[in-house]
Amino acid sequence: MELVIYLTVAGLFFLGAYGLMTQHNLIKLIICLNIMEAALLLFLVKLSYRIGGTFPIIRSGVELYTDPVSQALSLTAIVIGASTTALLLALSVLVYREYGTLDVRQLRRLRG
Amino acid sequence: MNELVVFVLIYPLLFAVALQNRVGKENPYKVGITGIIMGILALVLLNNTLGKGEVIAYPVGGWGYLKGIVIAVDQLSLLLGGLIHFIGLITLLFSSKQFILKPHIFVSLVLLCIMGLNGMVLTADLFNLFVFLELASLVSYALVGYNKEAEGLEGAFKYVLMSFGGSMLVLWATALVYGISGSLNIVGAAEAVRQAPHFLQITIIVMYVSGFSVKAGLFPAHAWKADAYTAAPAPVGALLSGASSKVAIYALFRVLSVLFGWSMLSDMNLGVILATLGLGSIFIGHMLAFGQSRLKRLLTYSSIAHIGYIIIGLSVFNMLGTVGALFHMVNHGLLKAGLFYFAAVATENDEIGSLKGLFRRSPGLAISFVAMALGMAGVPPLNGFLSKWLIVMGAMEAGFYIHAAVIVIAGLMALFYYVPLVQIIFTPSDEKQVLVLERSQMCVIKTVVAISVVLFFIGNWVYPVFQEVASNLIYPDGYIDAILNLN
Repeated sequence: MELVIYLTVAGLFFLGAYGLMTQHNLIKLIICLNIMEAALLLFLVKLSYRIGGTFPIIRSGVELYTDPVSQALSLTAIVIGASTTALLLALSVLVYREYGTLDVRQLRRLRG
Repeated sequence: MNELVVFVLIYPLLFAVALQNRVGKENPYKVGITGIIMGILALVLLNNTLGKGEVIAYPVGGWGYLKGIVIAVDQLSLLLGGLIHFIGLITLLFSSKQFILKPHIFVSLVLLCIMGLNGMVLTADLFNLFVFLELASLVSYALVGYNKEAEGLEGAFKYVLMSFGGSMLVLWATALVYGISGSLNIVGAAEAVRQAPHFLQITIIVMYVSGFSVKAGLFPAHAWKADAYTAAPAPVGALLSGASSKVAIYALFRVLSVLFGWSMLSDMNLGVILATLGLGSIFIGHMLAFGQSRLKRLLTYSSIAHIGYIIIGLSVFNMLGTVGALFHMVNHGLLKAGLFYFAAVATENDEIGSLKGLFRRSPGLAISFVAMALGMAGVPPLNGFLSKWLIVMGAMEAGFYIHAAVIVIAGLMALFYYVPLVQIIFTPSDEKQVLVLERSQMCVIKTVVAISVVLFFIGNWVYPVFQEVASNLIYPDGYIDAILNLN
């Protein structure tokens, strides 16, 4: 079961990376970045999981907790990803206003 | 006194917020510059409390190193911190003379970028490093596209697409380290990581190297740099090429040296691989710099090449090379900031052709440019020569003869693209109009040139200082002990 999750993580990450190299639409590129990030979030959540563990609030009669640190890490990573996505969406609106297209191949005023 | 460390981390945020009120909006540059000067004072105080070879480890909130976040300061962090603040100061002095929309937002973004870089330099916690890395990068994306012109937006978009991939690799490596060791502290994780299976170690190293080299713009991942720096407003180009790329390299070497130790890394031949990437950067950077018609683009390609020198100096794993690389970080940051400043004040639309006859119009500016260009190419009476010389000596000592030879030849190549510029500057043109600069603008450029000449002549005095700093990187025992003593 663990192996399946690790393979899913790697698969999602490289799917996102593949998309980054093959797609041309700015919005699709942003989605690809988010897929890459989702893969890592899955990985972080997997790290926190313990078989039979419960949510990490200390109380009597419970021995095994899931790891709160990597859950906190994944929350922080979500925030960072969300702010990057917001910035990218704002950029793509501005790019559309200037260039009139969302095709990344048309963005070629910088050359040399 | 150790609480000063927290002040250094947090003051840019306070000033960035303070800039949004009425006083800040009226004189943004004065407020920003005051902030940076306070930061420099705090660094000087920290430097005075820090004895030779000592390390200040400050557990935030008193949680110890296994659970909490530790901020660790040694002379290496202070050197990089000083460089960041100095470049930040030049950036603000410089942008106050440029036309920039809504300067209070611009200045607070620059301060936030400084905060992110400071955090990367000071923290001893891997996830914290990632968060500060992302803070610095997020702000740099915004700064590159700040003017909302077509070119800036395009550069920013290309920058984000590559740089975000790099961040994700760093995050993945951090998560792997945490999964292996159960600790996010570099020192706390080191023992478990050193005993981990070989393929996991290789994976972690590959992810850190590729992630940080995207951020630094090292050879296979250099493509974003040319577009982003060219399109960015000139002060931003100075900040990014002067400070951010060096801090990424610092972070890479700090993490790898503490996590694995030099001996293990050289068993894996990491030095050879990194030095070869550096060689690629030098080659690509210098080749592409030929025949550029835009000055900022030429300067950017030269930055890519200089990142290559720094990487070679660090990856030969000996004292001479490391001292040379650290010294080169300072020299290159200084001279590149000066050259970007020159590009902004002396050219029209960044065209090299518009430099024609500059010597007639403003002799002081022309001569300063010649001095800075020679410093970049590594010609003796300037500091660039010293640090390159040290890197070459270090490479020879470690047996990297090809790399040493290429560095020497690359200096000549650099001369070949700077000489035509000098020729254009000294060609008389029909335009008789004198280029009048404000006194403060001239003053910044002359200061840069003066510092670089002085650094050459006090090289004997500088060397032992850098030797101490370099020994922090080469022998991280003091750093490790200081953190282990916290619990």
